[in-house]
Amino acid sequence: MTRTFTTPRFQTAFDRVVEPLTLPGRLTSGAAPELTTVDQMVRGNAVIGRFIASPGLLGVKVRPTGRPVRVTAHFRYDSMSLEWWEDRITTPGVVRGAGAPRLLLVRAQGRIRGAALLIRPAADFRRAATGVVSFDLQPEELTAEGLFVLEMAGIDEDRPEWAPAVPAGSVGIMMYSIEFAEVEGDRELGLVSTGTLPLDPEDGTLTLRAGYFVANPADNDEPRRWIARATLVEPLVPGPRTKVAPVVEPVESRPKRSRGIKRKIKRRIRRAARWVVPVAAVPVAKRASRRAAALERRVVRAAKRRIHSRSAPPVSTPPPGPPPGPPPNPLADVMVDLVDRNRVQVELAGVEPGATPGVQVRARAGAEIEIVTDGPLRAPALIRLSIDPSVLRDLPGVDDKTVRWELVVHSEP
Amino acid sequence: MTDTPEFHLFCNTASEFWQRNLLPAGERVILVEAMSQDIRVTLRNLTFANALRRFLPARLVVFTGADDDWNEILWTFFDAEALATISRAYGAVDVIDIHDLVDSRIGDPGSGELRVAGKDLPVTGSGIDPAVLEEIVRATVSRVLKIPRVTDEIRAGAKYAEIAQRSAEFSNIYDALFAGLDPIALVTSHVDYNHWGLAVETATRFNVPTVHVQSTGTFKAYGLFPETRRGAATFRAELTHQIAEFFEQYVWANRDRLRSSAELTAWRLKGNWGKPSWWRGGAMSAIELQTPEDRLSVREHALARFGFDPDKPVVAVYNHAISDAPRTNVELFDDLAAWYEATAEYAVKRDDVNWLFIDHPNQGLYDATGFFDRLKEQHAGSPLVFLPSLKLSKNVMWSLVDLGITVRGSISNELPAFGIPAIQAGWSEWSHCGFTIVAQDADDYWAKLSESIDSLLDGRPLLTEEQIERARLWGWFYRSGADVSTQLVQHWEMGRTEHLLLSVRVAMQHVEADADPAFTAVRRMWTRKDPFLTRVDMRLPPEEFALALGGVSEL
Repeated sequence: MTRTFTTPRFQTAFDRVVEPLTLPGRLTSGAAPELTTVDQMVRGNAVIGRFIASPGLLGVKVRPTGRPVRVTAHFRYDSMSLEWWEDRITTPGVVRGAGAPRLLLVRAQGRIRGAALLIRPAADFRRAATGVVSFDLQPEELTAEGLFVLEMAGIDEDRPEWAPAVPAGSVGIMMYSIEFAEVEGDRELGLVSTGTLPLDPEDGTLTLRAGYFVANPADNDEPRRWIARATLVEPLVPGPRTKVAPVVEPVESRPKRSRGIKRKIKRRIRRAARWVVPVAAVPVAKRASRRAAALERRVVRAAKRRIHSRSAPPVSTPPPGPPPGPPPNPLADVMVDLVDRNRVQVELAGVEPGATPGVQVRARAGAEIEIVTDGPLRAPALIRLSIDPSVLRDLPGVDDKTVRWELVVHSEP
Repeated sequence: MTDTPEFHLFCNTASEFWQRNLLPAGERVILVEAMSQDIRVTLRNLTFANALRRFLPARLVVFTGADDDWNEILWTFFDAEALATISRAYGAVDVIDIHDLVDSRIGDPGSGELRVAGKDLPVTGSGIDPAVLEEIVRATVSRVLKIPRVTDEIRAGAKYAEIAQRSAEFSNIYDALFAGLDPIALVTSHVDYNHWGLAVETATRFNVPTVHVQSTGTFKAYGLFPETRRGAATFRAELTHQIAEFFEQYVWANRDRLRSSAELTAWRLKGNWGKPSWWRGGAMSAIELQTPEDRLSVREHALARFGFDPDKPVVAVYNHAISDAPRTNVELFDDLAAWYEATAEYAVKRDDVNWLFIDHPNQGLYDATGFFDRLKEQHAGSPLVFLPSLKLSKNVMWSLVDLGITVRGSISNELPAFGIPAIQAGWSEWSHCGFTIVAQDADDYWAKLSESIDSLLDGRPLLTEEQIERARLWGWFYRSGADVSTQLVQHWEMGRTEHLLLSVRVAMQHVEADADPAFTAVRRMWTRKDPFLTRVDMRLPPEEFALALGGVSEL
């Protein structure tokens, strides 16, 4: 507990009496009375709010139960996040742009609880990237008189050079829900973060959007184990309807007000345009997320087709028919050899100074690797997977394809 | 705004309104200053003067103008013509450009006479004490050059010579005006620097009551009457005593009836309701922490941000705008920068506390020397934390500070109102109202600072319940008790807008003037020689006083 030197008197006779949030409970609005404190955050109504600085924090009155409390915070990096960030971070020369990663650290009750990587997809980039951090508070960490404090900051220092991210990454990030529940079993959400959450929760893999993933501490003191699968993918060639992240020019000075209006109009046009392709091309999907996933697959397929028949006119409606089966993976045959020859590298870097466990890699069938630490993770870490490009070039069937890593989430112990 | 049709409608209406709301003009005059670019300031000055003219027959003489220095450092749209138009609409018989007069007299030393309001006024020199003149010249040079102090080099320079010459001429002209026009009162928005300060200085020597109208709230004004002066060094120092006396006699004595009002003001102060609270705006401007435990929850995050030791208290030193009106208040150090530098030196040696040095939010307007950044650089190796004001949100600041230090900043009212002690290295309006630790001189400052830190470390509270209540009562008094709510000027936050002009025009055109608070309050202040305007008669018997407040005490 922090020492007290001066006891303040913030209370007045006119303060609102706040009824704390009870478990299980969920905070989903900036207007909720139990959200008593926001700092460097603008409250929302349909969402909790958006951060305007790094770090920013919020404080919630939560009624303690005397037992541990599981907290799960959901947040999002969307178009407005980008606008808010561009309006506020005008430092020249920094990493910026729609596709630039946000690497975020979440603290609560004074301690680091997790990190998250948010990257908006290069294809159909308008879709937001979603993140989640989940952690358990011990009974002594939550009091009836005090606050639950959640702080978010961009990870701006001590980042390895292979993990670029925009500075002050929390700026613009939208918090949309925080759940408070009794602890039941081990945590499953938020243990890894690869760029966004899967569109389909049943999909067992997470694509590493930046060649590395964030691993957060687990509940036990065991070494950690992850399985990743490498596939070769065609580089994305944008077609006329592929929505790709625009190149954002560095902002020299603070944008003028009129730019905001122009942007609003542009955004409206974009929003209207967004529905043209899906509505025309796809029968009503039962779940929006499935539809979006299918869309992304189609965009990639369309891009592939365009390589084979560049002179063909743009296809507005994809031909019906069964999707093609999985293509043969040239990496499947060589993964054991690559790992044996140390051509598959796994690097682990902590997000805060301090000891990090060592890490080993083993090959598995089907172009998969198993990554194992020699001790528990005490703090969030960044883990980069890479295959020596010089050996890739010599492999038959690689051509100009690049390696995409997918984390097989089921295998998390 | 002054080039809109609404401005002319406003002026026409004002002219009609005031012609029927004043006594016939007498022989004497009221001198009104119109040297701010913001029409809200001049509107207040003129309204005060006309409220006087409802019971004192007098003519209105307005002096206006600006020079290159002020146009460069502060004014962006100074429009003497618009100020003259509104002055005439409020009944001014003459509007003189005092800066022009100064310049033409310097250009032509032979011009001996001044013609104002139909009278020829001989200019025969000023009776000002040369030491006082020099003090005002130095303050003006500091402000104009945006420097903390006038060095020998600057004193030998052309700018100093120019300002000294112009200042002497200002004083000559003000003496001529006061000697020749026999004014009833001087109404001014500022009391510092040469063009304002020398008018106040002359008024004081000529025993003319001086009204200092405030650029905040709705209708706030301080007044200094010759009969109530006690010989303090400056206008502001005089007022500090009188305010404290009044506070003790009528505010503190009425605390039982005012408690509820003061609580409501404190609540609004936290939430940034009811300006002035220019410390910051927007999403970082509210104190939302409610309990001491709330504060600790945020504090552990805040301490970590700055690398502070959780086992040590946090002492915050609030920089002042370093060229802001030096020596007009009582200050314990040679200048504001000297105080700040010396405190940083002291801080380096006291490593049993965490030190947070916070710059003034408007420093850019007052410092061209990079003072704060230089000091930060100078202490780069030390654990002292230096922060631009707006890097710090209110919740985080309030979660950290265990003791605040300022010269005369409004933070020394806010901190004690919420239970956190404050040391003052100089006087302010409230410094004698008993809720801050006010040092007598520099030695006493170091002693009080050292004692206060020892008390923090030993867990001895530095602030009593009574002091918290006093601080909240001052908050009420500043924002409510001494702020007259009248439609004839509208609240400052209405902005410099056409809405303002429209609102005042509606008030003049459609609202009968009887019992307008501006009129009753000015008359009450004048009759009783109170040091300020009050919203209600603070001398009423308890029950009537509570009634006059509108029943807030029952909430």
